[in-house]
Amino acid sequence: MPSLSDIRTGLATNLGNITGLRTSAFVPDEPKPPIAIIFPDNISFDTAFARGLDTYTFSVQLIVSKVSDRNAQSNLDAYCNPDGDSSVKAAIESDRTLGGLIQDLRVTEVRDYRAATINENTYLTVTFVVTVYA
Amino acid sequence: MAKFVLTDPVIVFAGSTITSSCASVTVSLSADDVETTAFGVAGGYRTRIGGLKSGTVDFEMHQDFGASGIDSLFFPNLGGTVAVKVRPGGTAAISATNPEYQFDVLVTEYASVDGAVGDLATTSVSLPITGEVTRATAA
Repeated sequence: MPSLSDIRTGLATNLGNITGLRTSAFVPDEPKPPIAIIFPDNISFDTAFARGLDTYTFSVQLIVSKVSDRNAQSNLDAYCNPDGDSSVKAAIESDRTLGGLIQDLRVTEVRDYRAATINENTYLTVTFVVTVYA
Repeated sequence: MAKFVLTDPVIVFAGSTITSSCASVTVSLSADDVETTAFGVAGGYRTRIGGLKSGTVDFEMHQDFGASGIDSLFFPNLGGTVAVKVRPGGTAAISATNPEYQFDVLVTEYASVDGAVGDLATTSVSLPITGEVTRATAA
């Protein structure tokens, strides 16, 4: 069975296919936008007998330019598209086994498109939900 | 053996262990209810004896089209008779406290695809047992 850290790293690797987007498998002290940060949300163990399958849910939080930036929303919109060079869904699903590490994955939804204050700066953020079967 | 949580049974179908592809297994055995009520029964209650025995085995599985996956075991055997073994207590040796149920089933159904968009691909079968069921208590 893959480790949680390995899965996070694999997701970050897939996200690295988006030009200009920083990725982090772990939460950085001071995120520098645009950046995608991977958080584990939930793990359901034993969805098959004999440790045959676990189901993970990850949140990928995308932080882009400050709210005051005129292009912030259009940049974020591009990341939210279902396909295209900047699509987070397309990038994460570009290798659905993470190089054979897991059984399958799927980006299921985008949520929480909003402003967020980080280190006294206000950024636009959005969260992608990823279901991983491993 | 004490009460236990079912996480690691041994499930063998057609000679292949399918445990890690199964999310649920049910071995259900029954005997026919044959009525023997006659005139003059005590207290006016019906009487019965056990008749022929029968059973089914149900699997809920995660579909897999790999070389030795679920599809490769079920599709070729549709309509045929297959040996099944279920050892609820796990991989420890068969014993009086870790029995294994051994029987043949007639593969009367198989849904190769059963799911909606975004679902984990699964398949479920309910197969009738044919012949005797053995409760093995020694390897």
